[in-house]
Amino acid sequence: MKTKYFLQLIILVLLLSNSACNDDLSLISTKPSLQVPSEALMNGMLTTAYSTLTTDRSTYGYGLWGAINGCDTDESFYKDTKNSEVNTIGLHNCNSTTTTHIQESWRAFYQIIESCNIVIDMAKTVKMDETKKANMVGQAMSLRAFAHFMLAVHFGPVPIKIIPTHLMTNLDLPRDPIKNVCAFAVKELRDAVPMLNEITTTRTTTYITKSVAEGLSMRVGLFMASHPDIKDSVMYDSVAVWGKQLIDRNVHDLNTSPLTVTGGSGIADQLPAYARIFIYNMQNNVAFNPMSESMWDCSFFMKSNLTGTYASWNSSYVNWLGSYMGVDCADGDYGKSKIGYSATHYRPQATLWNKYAAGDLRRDWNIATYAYKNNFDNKPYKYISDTLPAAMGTPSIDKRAKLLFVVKGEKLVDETVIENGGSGYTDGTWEMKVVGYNNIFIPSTSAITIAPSSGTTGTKFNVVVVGGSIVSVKMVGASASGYMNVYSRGIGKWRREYEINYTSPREQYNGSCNFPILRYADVLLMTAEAALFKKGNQGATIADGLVYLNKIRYRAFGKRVDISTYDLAYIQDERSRELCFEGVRRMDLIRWGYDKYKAVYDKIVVDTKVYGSDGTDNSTAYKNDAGRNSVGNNEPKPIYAIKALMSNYTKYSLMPIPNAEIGRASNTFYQNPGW
Amino acid sequence: MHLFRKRIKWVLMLMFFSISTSMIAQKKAVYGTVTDEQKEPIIGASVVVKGSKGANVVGTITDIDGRFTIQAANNATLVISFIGYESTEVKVTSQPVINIILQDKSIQLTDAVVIGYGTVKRKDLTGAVSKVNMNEINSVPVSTIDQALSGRIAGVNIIAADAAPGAQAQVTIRGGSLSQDASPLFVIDGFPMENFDMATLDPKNIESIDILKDASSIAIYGSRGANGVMIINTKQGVMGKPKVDYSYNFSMTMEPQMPKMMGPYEYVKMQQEIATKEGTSTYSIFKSMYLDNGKVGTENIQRTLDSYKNEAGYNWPDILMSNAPMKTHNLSMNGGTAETKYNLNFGYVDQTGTLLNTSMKRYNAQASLEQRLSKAIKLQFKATHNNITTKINSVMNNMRQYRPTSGIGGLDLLAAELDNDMTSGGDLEYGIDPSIFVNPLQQAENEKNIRKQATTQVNAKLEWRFLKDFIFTSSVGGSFINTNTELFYNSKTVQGLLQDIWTSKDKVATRILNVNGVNGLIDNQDVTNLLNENLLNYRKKFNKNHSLDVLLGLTYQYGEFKTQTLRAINMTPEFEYLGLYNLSSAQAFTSSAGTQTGYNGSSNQLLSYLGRINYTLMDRYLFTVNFRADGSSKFIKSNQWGYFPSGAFGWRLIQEPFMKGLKSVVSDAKVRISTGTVGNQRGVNDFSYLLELGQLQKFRAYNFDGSTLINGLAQYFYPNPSLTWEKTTEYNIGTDWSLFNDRFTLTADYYQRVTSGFLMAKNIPYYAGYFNGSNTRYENVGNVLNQGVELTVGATLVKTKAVTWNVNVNSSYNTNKILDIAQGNDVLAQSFENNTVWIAKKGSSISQFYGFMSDGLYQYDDFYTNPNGTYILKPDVVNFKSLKSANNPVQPGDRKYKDLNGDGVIDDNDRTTLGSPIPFLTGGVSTNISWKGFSVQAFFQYSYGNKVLNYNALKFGESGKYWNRGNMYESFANRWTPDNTNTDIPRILEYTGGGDVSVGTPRVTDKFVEDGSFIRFKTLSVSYTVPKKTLSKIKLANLMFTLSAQNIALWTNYSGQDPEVSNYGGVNQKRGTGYTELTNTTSYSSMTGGMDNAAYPRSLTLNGGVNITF
Repeated sequence: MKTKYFLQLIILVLLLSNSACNDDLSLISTKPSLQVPSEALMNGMLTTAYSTLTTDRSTYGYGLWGAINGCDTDESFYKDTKNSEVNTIGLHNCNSTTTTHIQESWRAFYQIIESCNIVIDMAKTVKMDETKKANMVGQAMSLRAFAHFMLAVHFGPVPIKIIPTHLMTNLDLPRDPIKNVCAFAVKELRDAVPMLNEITTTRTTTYITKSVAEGLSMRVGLFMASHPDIKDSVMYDSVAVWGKQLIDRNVHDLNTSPLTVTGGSGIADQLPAYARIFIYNMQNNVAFNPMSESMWDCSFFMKSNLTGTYASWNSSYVNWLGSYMGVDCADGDYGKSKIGYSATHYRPQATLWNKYAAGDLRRDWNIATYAYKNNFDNKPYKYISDTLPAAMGTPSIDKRAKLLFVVKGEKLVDETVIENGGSGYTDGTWEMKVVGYNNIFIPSTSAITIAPSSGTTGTKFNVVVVGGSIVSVKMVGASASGYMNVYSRGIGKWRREYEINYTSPREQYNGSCNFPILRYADVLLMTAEAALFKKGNQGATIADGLVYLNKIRYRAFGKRVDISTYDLAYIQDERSRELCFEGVRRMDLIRWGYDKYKAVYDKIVVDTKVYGSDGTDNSTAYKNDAGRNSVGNNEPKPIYAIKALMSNYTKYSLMPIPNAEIGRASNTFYQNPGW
Repeated sequence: MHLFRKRIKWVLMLMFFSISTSMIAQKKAVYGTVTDEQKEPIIGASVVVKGSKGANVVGTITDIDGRFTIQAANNATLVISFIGYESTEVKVTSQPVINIILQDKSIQLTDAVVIGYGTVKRKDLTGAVSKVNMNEINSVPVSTIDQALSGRIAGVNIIAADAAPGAQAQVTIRGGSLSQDASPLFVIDGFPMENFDMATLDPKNIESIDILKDASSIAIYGSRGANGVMIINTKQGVMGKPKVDYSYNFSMTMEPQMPKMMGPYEYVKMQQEIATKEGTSTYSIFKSMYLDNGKVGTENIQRTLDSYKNEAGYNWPDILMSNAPMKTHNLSMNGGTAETKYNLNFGYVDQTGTLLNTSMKRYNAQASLEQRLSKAIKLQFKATHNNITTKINSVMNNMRQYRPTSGIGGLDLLAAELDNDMTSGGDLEYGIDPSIFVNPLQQAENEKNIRKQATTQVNAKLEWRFLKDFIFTSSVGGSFINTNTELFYNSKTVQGLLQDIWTSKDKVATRILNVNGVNGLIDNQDVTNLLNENLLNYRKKFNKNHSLDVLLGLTYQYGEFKTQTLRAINMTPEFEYLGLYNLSSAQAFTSSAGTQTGYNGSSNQLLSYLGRINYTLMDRYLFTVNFRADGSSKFIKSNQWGYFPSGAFGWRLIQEPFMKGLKSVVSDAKVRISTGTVGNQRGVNDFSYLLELGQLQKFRAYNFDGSTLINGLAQYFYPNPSLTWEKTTEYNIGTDWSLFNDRFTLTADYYQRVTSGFLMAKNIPYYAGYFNGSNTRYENVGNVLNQGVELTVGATLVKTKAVTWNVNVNSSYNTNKILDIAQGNDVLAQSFENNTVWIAKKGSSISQFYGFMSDGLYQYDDFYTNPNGTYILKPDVVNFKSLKSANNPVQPGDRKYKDLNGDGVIDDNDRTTLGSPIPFLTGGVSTNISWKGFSVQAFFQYSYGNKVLNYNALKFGESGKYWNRGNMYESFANRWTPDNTNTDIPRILEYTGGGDVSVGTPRVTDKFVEDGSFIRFKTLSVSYTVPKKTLSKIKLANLMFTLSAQNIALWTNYSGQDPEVSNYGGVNQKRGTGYTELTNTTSYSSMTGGMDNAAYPRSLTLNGGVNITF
């Protein structure tokens, strides 16, 4: 009997303990995890969200000013475009199935969104200073909104993703219409404004501050107001109001004082005030100066030096600005460059050059006027000589002439545009010889291009000086040598010679130039644009707009050259003159609609014929780089680079959804039309 | 040693105590001897008075001559027993002398079979459990147990990666699943271990290996048993006189046959052909290397191609491979009384590999002690330490590839030419591969790749018998595995090569060809497992007809792992002789690429309730019901618990009245049926449900103030809260027969198992927003069906007093099929160089090779000849898609493939399945003949129906200049050339062509997916035991000499070295660490077998050994 009792007892105990099967066996992870959310974790996640703007070539390291946004516009083109590349994606030097630019850009923005989602989710439970928390959540909301907007601009309808993945049961998300995505972004940005710090508190241009959220909301708002598929015209009023509020708060202003800086050439340069922001970019200067023009810079630090603290960091985390898009420096010798290598893959369109009026200092900053010879010589070689025959006299630098060789038709040079005849030359007709290199027209990676000289070789020109000023330049002797035109120049906005804090030897392609995502000039331009179309009485007026635009002009010319009236066409050109290569032109053209895009294209066709090839010549010189496509295609590259977009606007105005994504979200995803 | 002596003393003291106890119960002295059938005395047989128990036990053991003396009353019954013999009972009569002959146990019907948390007599077994014959295993001259086991057990497939010293084998039981790790759960002395490396065990110290195969047996291991369970118990003390056993083995592994590579003439001829193709600059380098004036020895001669005809060159495999000795020592002491039992074991293995500078050393030590404290209470302690060090290197591939002309005094002036090139200010040849400067001999002498694994296991167990039928056991234990890898590459290795270059004539700079310079790595992984088990056992025979055995248990296991990695690059070469001591000179902490230091850690726990009822009715109907509930911390709270039931029924036909007439023929007959569900949580990471923010990489850092980097945290691995263990449901029907007085035995099983929800990394949308490269999440994605038949037949063909001849045959047949996978998508698995090699498709085997069908070569007929001598492919001939508009179009002599989808071009869509690397028939035959003191054992192993991808042939036999300046198989001399078009070996490709036409890696082609079926004469062993009578004169208890051979002969159609190969994993896989750690990039699974890529070859091993028992 006793046995039985005991047995029963044991079984009973075991059965009871069996009910402990409901016990929670979870352990505490030793890694940082969502088990214990904290302020530190939120900070870490937010850092990653910011960092992801730099962590791939497909974002601000390259794609958003180059592969994706550096083409299809009247500002720049990719000079290595090849005949075999049959669509826009090809022209962007990437390919919808294998090249990663599009897919990685897609991923990066959703990674930013997810990091922000996690920050916002953690904030619900983390106990911390409420002001600090609001500021963090505000940044996360703004970054998330910005990422959504960038996705909508490039990919069209995209999923709005605000629930962190680890809380989702079904991972399938529908693609939301562009309109909804933009509306979501505007709302989030506006909601974030009161939560955020003012830049006078953060004191650097790297954080999203109150004015950044305001500015970004204006960018999205203007997109919604003007985009033909959205036409949310109420947004003009909102943008006019938000713009005026921001401007009147007086925390930002344009840089107006010229800058003296010593670059790689070792000579102290006097640079226009306009250049200051880009020099700061190159120098990683993110300090908030009183009335800073910079509002939000994407900050790079990973220089990929060959030696030193940050040596050989993965090239996905460095900026190619200055090398892929920069002032030509043929020194391709890995690890030896003194100035900083650049192959000038991206080139200015003549259309942009044409937009600048005489005296606009921005032109010669944005479109470089010189190249570097090689690694042994830091000296910049101007595209047009200022060492004309000695007998011509040597006026002081500010009095020298500016010439541009224009290529037209079969003969290499039959027209020279005299931009500025200069003064102080000796009257008469002078012979000048210009020597090209290797029958190649433009600086190539192999050597220095043009070395004007008064020597015995080279193409002969007759230079006529009347009244101390050059009045005519005519080619008189044939030569196979080449000459510079606009297409042969580099983009000078960000110049590697101003890079600081690098140790020698320098990496060939990689730099750490910051990228200006939002700056005050854009705010002025956006406000002026909204003022033109707004219906209500609130916000900035056209009169205000004029004030804003003249402010920009004052800085552009270094003196007052005011306008008294403006229209959309003016804004459209002024935006290009001011903001060229800053990754917004493609977005602007899309929002202004097909007609505007068509007009831009037509203009490029005309300009290319004037300033480039006329489409009939197949000579060697034209086949290179900026000239012409390879055999069998007569399209000059500046045209070719935008032609595909015009051939099928519906298709090419949006990027394809990455094929891999369609496979991974097959229940809800579909490809964009035409792809 | 001090402890050792002390322990012996204590043991002896206890023995004395037990003897004196029996003296108290003195009645009458009975004398006798115990012998076997051959009249050889049995030493250490136990003689116990029946009915005496516990502390009052009356018993003794036989001495060295088999003699015993015991005090017993008239009419008392003596029970005489010894392992391997049938126990006998003898009544004490008035005769003072009793001589007893013990009969050999031929069939071990009453043998205990180890099942989970207990043992059962074989006759009462209801599940499919295989027991390994340890006697056979121990006569095999191998250093690790897995090498001896393969082919010996039906249903257990053991494929050694290759024959590298200490290489770990892949074990699968009854087919695999597609999950990450298909190996079984190992239970070492009661300690459940995942990812265990059998090579760490000392085979001599293994008492038993039992393999649980069907669900009813496995279910007691619940959530971890689905891949089968391998229970390994080490030796314990046995009652008897102290038995000191020493064995020594010396073996020699013969230098393996290596495939023939080209000699100097053919090699240089090939280089000339390549250089001619590649143009003038390459040709001029070739010319100065091989044809210009060159110093040969001290003579300056004008070299021509013919100069190489008489050059022997360097046969690198021959230089690097040699006969390799192995020494094994084992010393053990075992003994005990009814109260105290002990076992001490020391083992040492020193194995040299056949490849230069590869080796394995292992130390094993174990001590166990069992002490009965009272009639009711018994205590057991066990401590084991295994320490294994393996040394390997990466030369196996390089020694085939390396040019035969290089080296001291050779005709190859490569290094001089390059120096010259650089002196003259020329650029270093573009894309130069540092490996061309380092010959494999230098590499092997300098590379350090050492892996040390130390396993310590301690265990204490209390057994409490109470209320007659109850036994309560409680045990605590810990297992500690430390795996330490050290790599060091000095400047003489490919990986650490520094090369002086001249930037101008007078300026010398040391430039590193390898950006990492002299570099090294230390990786340390610690795995700790703690275990507590509490079992309550109730055993009762109610009357003759009812027998009940109930087990209830509660177990708790806690595991944690930590890894530390330290990688240093660019150490100062001046002090490289210091090896890793030079670590602190490295720039590792301040600069350069990649993760330099790493730390990782995690933990898990498992709480389990288990129960089993064995009920036997009339010794005829056997019922088993198992149940286990597992709670695992790996899952989210709501998913933590899983329930694993199983049941089995056995019917002992032999006990039925209708069998009575057959008794003379059938000695045992049983039918078994079982079913159950088990789990596998192996593929689930700790905290699988939780978002752990990781990757504190500098790349996530951001520079907010222009000068300071702030680190970021990123979402990296996708957590999956709905993840659960994969479940396997299995049906098993089996039968056991024993005929002609146990002379013939047969066990047959048929099983069908469906693994549902197997775990794989699934691609999920990128908008989910995580940072891991493949953007995958572990999900329960599919179902796999395995079914098969297992057959084990044993026969004692001859059994006379002098001669015994046994034959054992086992055979297993398995097929598997994917029922469902990743929403119907195929899964591809890649190998080296991201080359896709395998595919898993719904409706097919879990693994198939995947590639192209060869269609001969392009010949001149396929082309139009241009006036300028170039060839244009005729439009109706199939072309490579990627070459349609390329500058280097397809040429005569290129390999042609079948356009399987008929679209006129060859691309990835023309791939097809090329057979499975998984054999469907495997097994072995062993036979044993003993005559007097002689015993001869032979073992044959076979495998049928598996394919092997001969990747070596792809690399060395096919693709021309696959490596810059690489050597090729001798057979490649018969390649396609304009003068030799009638061949199936393609022309040479330009270096830029890489592995095959238009691709950088070789295409997997049907031609290289070969039949891997084989029969291997694996073991032959002859042993001689010196007669006991002779031995007693020299005061030895036992003396045995063994001569044996391993890997004697191989019959196969496979053209490579050895079809028993699976070396996907590479040399530094973190396997056998006692912990399963998944990453998103792990792709080693049962999907990736049958890869032969420069495997470490097996070869004949000859062995001589002696075994002495004192």
